[in-house]
Amino acid sequence: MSHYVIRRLLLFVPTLIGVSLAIFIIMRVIPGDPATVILGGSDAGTGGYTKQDLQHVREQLGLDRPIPVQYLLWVGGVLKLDFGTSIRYSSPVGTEILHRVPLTFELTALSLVAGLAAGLPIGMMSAAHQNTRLDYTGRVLSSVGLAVPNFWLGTLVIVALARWFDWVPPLGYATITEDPQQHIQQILPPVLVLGCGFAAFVARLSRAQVLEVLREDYVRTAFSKGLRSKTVMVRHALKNALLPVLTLSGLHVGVLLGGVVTIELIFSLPGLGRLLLDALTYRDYPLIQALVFLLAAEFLGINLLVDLAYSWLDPRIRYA
Amino acid sequence: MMGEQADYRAPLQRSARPEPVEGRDGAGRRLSRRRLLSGTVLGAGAVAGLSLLGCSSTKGKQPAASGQASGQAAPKRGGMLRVSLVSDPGTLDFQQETVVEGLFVLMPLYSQVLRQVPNDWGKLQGDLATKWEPSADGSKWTFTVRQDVKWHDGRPLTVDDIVYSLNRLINPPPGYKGGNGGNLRGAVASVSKVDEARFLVELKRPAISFLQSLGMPYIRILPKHILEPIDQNEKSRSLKPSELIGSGPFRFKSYERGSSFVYERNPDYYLKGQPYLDGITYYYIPDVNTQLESLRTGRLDLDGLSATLKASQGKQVQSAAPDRIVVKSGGNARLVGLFFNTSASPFQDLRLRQAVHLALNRQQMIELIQEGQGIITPPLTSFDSVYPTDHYLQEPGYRADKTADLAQAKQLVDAATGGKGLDVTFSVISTSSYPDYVQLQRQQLAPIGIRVQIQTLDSAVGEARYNAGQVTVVGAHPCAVPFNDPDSMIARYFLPTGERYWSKWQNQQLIDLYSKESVDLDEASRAKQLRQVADILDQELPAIGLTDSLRTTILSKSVHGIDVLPPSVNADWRFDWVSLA
Repeated sequence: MSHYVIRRLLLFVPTLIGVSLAIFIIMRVIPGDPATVILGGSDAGTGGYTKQDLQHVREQLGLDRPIPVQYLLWVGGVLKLDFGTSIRYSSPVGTEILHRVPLTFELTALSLVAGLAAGLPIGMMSAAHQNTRLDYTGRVLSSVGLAVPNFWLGTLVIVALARWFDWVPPLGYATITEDPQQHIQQILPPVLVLGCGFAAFVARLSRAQVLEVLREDYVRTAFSKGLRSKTVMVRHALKNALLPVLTLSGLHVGVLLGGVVTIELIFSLPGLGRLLLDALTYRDYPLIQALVFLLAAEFLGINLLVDLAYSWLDPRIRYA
Repeated sequence: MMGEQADYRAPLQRSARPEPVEGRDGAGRRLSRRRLLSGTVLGAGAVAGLSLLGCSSTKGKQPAASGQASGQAAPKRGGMLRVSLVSDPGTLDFQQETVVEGLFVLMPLYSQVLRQVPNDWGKLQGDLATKWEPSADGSKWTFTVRQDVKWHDGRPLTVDDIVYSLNRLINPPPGYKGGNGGNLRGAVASVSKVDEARFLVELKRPAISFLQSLGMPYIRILPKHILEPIDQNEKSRSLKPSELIGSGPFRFKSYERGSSFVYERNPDYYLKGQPYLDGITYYYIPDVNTQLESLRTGRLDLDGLSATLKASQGKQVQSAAPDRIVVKSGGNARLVGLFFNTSASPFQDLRLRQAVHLALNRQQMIELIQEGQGIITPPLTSFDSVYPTDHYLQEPGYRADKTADLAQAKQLVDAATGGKGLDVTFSVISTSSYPDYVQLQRQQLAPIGIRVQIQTLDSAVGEARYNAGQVTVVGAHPCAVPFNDPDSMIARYFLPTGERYWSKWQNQQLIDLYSKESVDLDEASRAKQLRQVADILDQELPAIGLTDSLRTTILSKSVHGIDVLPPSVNADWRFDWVSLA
């Protein structure tokens, strides 16, 4: 087991190098100079700049050096957990990211929990009552949940709350320690929106898996033994049906993280998604590189945890 | 000699517009430029020419409460103004910030030497300056400053602070990221201290637009005791929140990146009795629907810069909450222009430039893209007091009836291409509605045989390619007007030294005219030369003005004092004249 974990962790290294190289090269290959973006602002008409200004800024950002040198300098910094200085904010990238991590982590984790909590029972109920009204209702709901994009649902929630209840989530983000009530009001709608799509995904997948497992011999045996159907479902069918659900849920974290970008925008939450969007808008190379790198690392880490959870769910699985 | 509250309106300014402005009037008639301009500040030039030279004086008076109209009830004190914004400041150093939202949020902290008069935005009045006078030849200006101003940390604001701030803009330290001093840099040779109450500005040459440049809301005074150690020892790092020390009406209270920025009243503000508000909270709300619903439900009082709001969205919110919301329209000074690359084929050929100019239907652009909320833009340097838009509205190209224009345009294309027509690529940045303009241009140019391919570019990529002359036509691009004088537009777009010299068009006559008119202190003579500049541009067409949008702003009915929206986003939004009911 420990060998397996170490091997997997070591495999992180080439993957992360690949990711960092890809993002580094893509950002540099795209035409356009971030120094121009910095000096030009958003066309505020604030005055203009000279070629010397442009050169100064390029030197300051290290953009005048060859790309391989820029990359190696960046990697050297990353090894020391120094991701550089944000072009836009003129502050350490690590500080900017660390400040935003808790909110995005909370949003993602709660959405996962909400999605699993809603999706699993719906999927199981659908499977247990196959081809009944309950099943059809569950299937329709999950189809709709999958079809509706997060950004649209998020906007709909904002508009509907405002029109029907004359209420929108409070402005100005408060952490749970600063103001628990305000925090819950701010975090709950986006969690439900993000969780909705994930619940639909889990419901469809778990229904299909449970139906498959219900046809297995050992389930028939369990019923033959006279066990109650609830016991068979929970103790025998669900645990075995969960394996692929867990695997794909791990992969779905990537989708959730993508969804967080738009959801944070719609609900005005200052998380990593908003930061990434701003970084892309202002071509903030160090920030984009660090964020993509960290998101990739997070994705890999979650998948490792999912793999390790296999052995707990299915004792037959052994890691060599 | 000039004192504060004198009329320093520039002689050549874009007109402020009355409000509310609708695309059509109550009788359903389309608004003409003339109707838009009725009741505005046209004609200010007569006094401005004299006042600019220091001949109009109300010396010795203290400024009245800014923006407070006489006869109005005294503004109520108290309350927090809640304003929405789309994005954070990039840096907290006002002089290095270039994003308009960032400047907007930092404005309440700082004072200026001269400032715009709220609700009469074309005028300037003294802010830190109590008096200013030019030398006989207009190449030097001596400013006398207030002695009762304190920084928010309690230290006195001195002439040294002003001199340091202005010099930092004009001769920025190495690595300085900021273009806010651009207008001043072009005009000012040096700023020096005369004594404890006065400083001297020496111009590179007499420049009629100097006072307008100095009164731009981006020219603000920051404390030397904060900036100097940073400039000397830490290059041009961003300021920390604890270093947000100003002398303006509001003091910094807190900032949560991506969420909110909070100010509280400065009790030591030098305009006694002001500000009226207890403070201001800016909320960062990037999504327009969330912004609109927050306004509608009363969580916000004012939609900050609202550059992207459509008139229909404003009306929708107002109709949903008529007792709570009021919608105003104001100028944007964000002209949309088309630029030909005249250094390369095919638009080296004047006939083709003329054909495009004749065939484009600006009114259709306003109707389809701007929901009728816009005006046709004449050549990019033509301001209302050079040639009002009305002057152009019946001219070929600009007029509503396109029949004759299209026929002539077709003839020109046929003559230039031997009847084969032309395949050409129009480039455009992918933001806002600019790609819509180019889509429409494609449709409008097809009948005359110009077949347009559209190349959509990321903003940074676009700017880089435009600068390098790597495009054939810049189909539509925002051309913000830095300040109320045509010189900024001429220098920026049509001189080889301009940072947006995309047309690569050289005309010695225009360069000579610019050299003369920009130092000409005689209003009539200068206006004549500027009309010649506009004529040259209208004949040579290196660029074409398309439309100017009107900005929709939504605010709560409880907000008092914002009677007239400024004619552009470039305004002094320090809110010291605003109150809440």
